[in-house]
Amino acid sequence: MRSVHRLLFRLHRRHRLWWAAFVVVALTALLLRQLGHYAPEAHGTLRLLYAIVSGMVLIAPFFEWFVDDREGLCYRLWGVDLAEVLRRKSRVLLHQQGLLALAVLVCWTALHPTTWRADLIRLAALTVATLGSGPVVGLSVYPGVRRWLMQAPMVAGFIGGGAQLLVLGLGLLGYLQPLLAPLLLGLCWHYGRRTFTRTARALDQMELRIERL
Amino acid sequence: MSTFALEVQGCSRRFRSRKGTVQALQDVSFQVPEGACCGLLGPNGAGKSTLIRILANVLKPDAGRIYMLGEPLRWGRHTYKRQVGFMLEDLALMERLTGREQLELAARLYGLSPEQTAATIEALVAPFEVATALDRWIETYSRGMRRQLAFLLALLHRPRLLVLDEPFEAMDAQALEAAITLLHAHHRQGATLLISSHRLDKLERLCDHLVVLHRGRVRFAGSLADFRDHLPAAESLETAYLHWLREG
Repeated sequence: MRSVHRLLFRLHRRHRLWWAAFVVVALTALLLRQLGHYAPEAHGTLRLLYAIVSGMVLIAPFFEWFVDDREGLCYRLWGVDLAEVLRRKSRVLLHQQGLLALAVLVCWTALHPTTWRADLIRLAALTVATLGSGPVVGLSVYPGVRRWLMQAPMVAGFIGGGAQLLVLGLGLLGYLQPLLAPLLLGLCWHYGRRTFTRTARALDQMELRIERL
Repeated sequence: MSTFALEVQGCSRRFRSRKGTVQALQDVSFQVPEGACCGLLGPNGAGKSTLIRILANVLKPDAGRIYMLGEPLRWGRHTYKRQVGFMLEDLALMERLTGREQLELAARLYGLSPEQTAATIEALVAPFEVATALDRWIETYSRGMRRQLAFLLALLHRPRLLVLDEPFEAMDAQALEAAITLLHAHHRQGATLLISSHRLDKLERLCDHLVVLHRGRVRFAGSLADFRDHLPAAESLETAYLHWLREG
């Protein structure tokens, strides 16, 4: 018998982008290693490129994570607490993105054995901060977007993913020190709790456009 | 305590679009007593599906009050559905789960234990064709299988009130019989049923009450015996209903 987490994980695992993301990460790391052989002094630039590409890859699970109207109809008919579902889905998203992030770090450390010690803490801190910020920002804007657009899950995915890239960019440009990452994560967790409830309440108040399903 | 499982008072709903306005429901009022099995009849466009979507809190009524199991229905509050089972015309299915996973997810979110979930699914699914396809993705299901699965999802948590929109549509003869047997058994256990269907022969076997909608208004609400009293010579509900429609 499968748990709710496992069932939701299965629901969202079955997305082609998810596997494509692993391939992109691995190929990028390989490509950058080859480039690094020709220009060892460009290591910083290559690391930046890798972080940007892998940051974009982390967005992939977002594109089907938000509750669209068909899924919303299920939860509404079952009378489940949507805030609780969103919390569970958030954990599923973190699980998925966490696996991707792990793949990102493993690829980097495997392909850059000489510098991985210096990179690892920074990359890990940035990844953690990045992962924490996306769901909170995405969920905050989702009801507003959903009110106007049928493609709201996709648009909210871009916005949540964009927030992740912004955090990543701030980190890479030096504005976000690795030590500040846990603080950012704590803030995200603190505001995330309210966001889940507020978003669920806003979504529960909306009519579903089921005639278009 | 109310003796009605469902009470609708002055419910109205209008749809607006660029092409004009449609009054889907107008001042609809009726009651369904506890333990009754009520058929919801009406020609296409009468407002049956709109009414059921409003009961499911998917659409918001423009006016009116609704009481379900004695509690007022509040827009945006969905917890009452723990005691109500819904099957809508628009099927609530997740295409990228298997049938078994969808049933498990619903059961777990209803709070059933793993043992209860497994036992309930096995017992419910066995007489249906969908049992042979439970481990396939729902997106590969035929229309009939989807309807069977949606029907089973509505019954999964043994609701006190069951509201079904066209449950028999696209079901084959074997599934139809299984569905009617399940509904009979559920009704015997004390549940209240509201079933919208064009299969009048099936409704006649199940229902003891009727609500007839026509152009968004209630034209009849009462017991099946009262309805047939209008036409004592009619052989079946279908004949009586067709005659009643012709008479306007």
